[in-house]
Amino acid sequence: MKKCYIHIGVHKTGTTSIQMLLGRHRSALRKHGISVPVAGNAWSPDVGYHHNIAFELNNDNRFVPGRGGLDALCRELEKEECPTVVISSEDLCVSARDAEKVARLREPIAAMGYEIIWVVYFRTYPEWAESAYIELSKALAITRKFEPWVKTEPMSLAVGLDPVGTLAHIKATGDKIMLHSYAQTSGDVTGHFFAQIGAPDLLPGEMKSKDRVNNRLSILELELLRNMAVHIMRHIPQDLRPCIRDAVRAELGRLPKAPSFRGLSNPLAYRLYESTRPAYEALLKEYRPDATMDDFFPLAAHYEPVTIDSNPPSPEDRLKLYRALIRLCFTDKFGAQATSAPLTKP
Amino acid sequence: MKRAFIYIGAPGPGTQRIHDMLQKHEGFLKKQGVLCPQAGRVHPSAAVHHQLGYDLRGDTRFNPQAGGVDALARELDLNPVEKVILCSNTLITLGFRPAAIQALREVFSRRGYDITWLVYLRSYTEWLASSYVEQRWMGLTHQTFEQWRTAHHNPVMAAPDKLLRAFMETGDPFILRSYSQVEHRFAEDFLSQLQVPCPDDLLDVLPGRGILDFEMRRLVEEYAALHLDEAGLNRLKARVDQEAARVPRSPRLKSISSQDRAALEKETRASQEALLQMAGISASHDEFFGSADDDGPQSIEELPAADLAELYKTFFLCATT
Repeated sequence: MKKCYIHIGVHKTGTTSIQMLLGRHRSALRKHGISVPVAGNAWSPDVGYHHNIAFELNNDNRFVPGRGGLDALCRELEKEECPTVVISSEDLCVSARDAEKVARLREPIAAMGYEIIWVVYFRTYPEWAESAYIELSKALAITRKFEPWVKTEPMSLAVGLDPVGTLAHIKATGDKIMLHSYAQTSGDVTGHFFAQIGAPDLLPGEMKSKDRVNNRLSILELELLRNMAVHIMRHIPQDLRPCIRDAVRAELGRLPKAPSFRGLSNPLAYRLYESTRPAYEALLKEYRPDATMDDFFPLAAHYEPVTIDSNPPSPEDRLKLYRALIRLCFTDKFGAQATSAPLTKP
Repeated sequence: MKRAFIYIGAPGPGTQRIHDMLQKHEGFLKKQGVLCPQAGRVHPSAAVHHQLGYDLRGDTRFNPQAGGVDALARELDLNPVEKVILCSNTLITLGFRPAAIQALREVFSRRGYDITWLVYLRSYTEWLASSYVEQRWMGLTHQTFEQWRTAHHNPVMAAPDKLLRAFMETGDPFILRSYSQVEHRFAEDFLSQLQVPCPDDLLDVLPGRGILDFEMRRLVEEYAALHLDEAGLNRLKARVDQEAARVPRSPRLKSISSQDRAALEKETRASQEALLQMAGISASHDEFFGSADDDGPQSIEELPAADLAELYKTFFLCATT
C-alpha cells in the first residue's frame, strides 16, 4: 500500500532543516521511491515545504494560489508513481487543531489509496516556548519581553500548551501517528526524520545541529525586532508589512555583535515545565507509553537568561541600535528610506 | 515711598521666564505687598500686561474688556499698595512715543508712585541669533540663519540707545541689566531689583533648548509627515513634552557663524556702547553683554553616544506608545 507521510512539525523542532534537505535531495529520494511534491511550496520550489497547503487550510493571507494548494497536490499525487510521498509543513499542526481541516487534507489523499502516517516532533515546553518567541520575533509579531509574553500568550502557544488536543482530531481519523522527541534525536533531527520515512542512509551526518538553519537572535537583534514590531503594528497596514521586512533585515545586518538571547531562567523553566507536565505526560501515555518524561522531554540542568537587561550594551552599541530603529521609523509604508541626516549646525 | 516697577522688555531674553514667575508666585508677591494689576492683562490668569502697551500705542489688538490705562488707574485707586509691578515687553516700543510714556507715568505719579524702569537686554547679535532659534523651534522658519537674518533685521532693536533714550530722559530710575549678567537666573534677579525675597520654590534656572531638543523636534515633524495626521502629530507633541525631562541636556544650538557675529557686532556696537554711556554703566561692551561662546558642537554627532541613544530611545517610545 502506498504511504503518505504528513510531517506537521511542530514549529521549532528542526522543520526548516528537514524541509531544506527534502528539497535538496528530491531526486535522490525519488530513487528511493520517495516523492516530495512540488505543489504547495509557498515560496521556493527548491525547498521541500508545503506551507501553501497549510496556508490554504488555515485561511492564512500568505496563501498564494499560483503556488498550488490542495487541488494541485491531489492532481500531482494522482500521477505519482512512487510508493511513498512526504508532505511537510509545521503550519499543519495549527490545521490539526480543527477536525474539518484535518478531513479536508487527508480525505482526498486517503481516497487515492494512500496509508496516511502523521509525523510529529515535540520538545520540552519551556524550550519550545522560548524558541517560538524568537521565531515570532523574527516575524515582527511580538512586542513584549519574553517572560510577560510566555505567561500571557495562550493563543500563540496553544500547540505546545495542549499537545494532546493538537493531535486529537488526527487520532480520531484512525491514522497512524509517529510521535517523536526532538531531544532524543541528539541534534540530528534530519537524519532521524529521513530514517522514519525509509531513507536512513541518504544523509550520513549531512546536517547536524551546528548547521542549524534558524540561528538564534542576539539580544540587540531581538530588541530591534521587538521595538520595530510596535511601530509596524501601529503604522504599517497588514498588506504592506512585507515591504518593510527587507529594510528590517538590512538593519539587523548592521547591528554590532552581541550575545545570543536566552529567555529562560531556572525558576521560569521549572515553572513552565511543571505547569505543562500533566499535558505532556498525557501525550506520552496516549502515543508513547514506552517513554518516560525524563527521556522524552528532559529539562536542562541549568538555564542562564541572556537579555538586554542582564547584558546592557555599551553606549556606542545602544546608539547603533536606536539609530537603526530611527532609520526604520523613517522607512515609509513601501520600504523606502524617507529621512534626512541628523541635525547639524544650521 | 510707593514704587512702581515697570518691566519693559526687551523681547527675547528671559521675558517668558519672568511672566511665568509672576503668574506662579502672584500670591506670594501679594503677601509681600506687591500688586500685579489685573488691568491690561492678556488673560486674567497671565501676569502679562501687553494690553496696556496696545492701549498706549493705539494698537488695533487692544481689547477694551482687558482694560487699558484707565482701568489701571481705577485699580490702583482701589488697591493702595506700596509696590506695583507691570510687565510687558510691548512697552519697550513706547520708546518712540514719549507722550505715551508720559501718560503711563502720570497714572502712577498722580497716586504718589515713583517709577523705576527695568530692562533686560542682550547684544543685538545675540538677540537676533536667539530670535532665529526661537523661530526655528516654533517651526516658523527652516531657513539658515544667513538667509533668515536679512529679512528679519530689526533696526529698532539694533539701535537700543535710540529706543531707550525716551525712558531715560524721564529722569526716573532706569535699571539696565544684561542677559549675560544674570546667567539665566532672571526671576531671582528680577525679584532682587524689586527688593522682594525669593519664594522657596522659585524655579528659575532657564533650561534653554539644547541641540538635542531641536533634533527631537525634527524627528517628530518628519515622523508625523510620514505616518501621522494632524491629530496624531498633536498627540505625539504632547507625549514628547511629557517626556521632555528624558532628553539629555545638550549645548545650545549655535545659529550664528563667527563671521556673521563679527559683521553684525561691527554694525551695532556703537549704538550699544552709547546706551551704556547714557545709562551711566562703566562696564565695557564686552564686559556688559558678555563675549560670544563659539565652542558649541557643529553637529549632534559630536555629543556623547549615551546621550544620543537616550534621545532616540525617548523619541521611539513617544512615537510608538
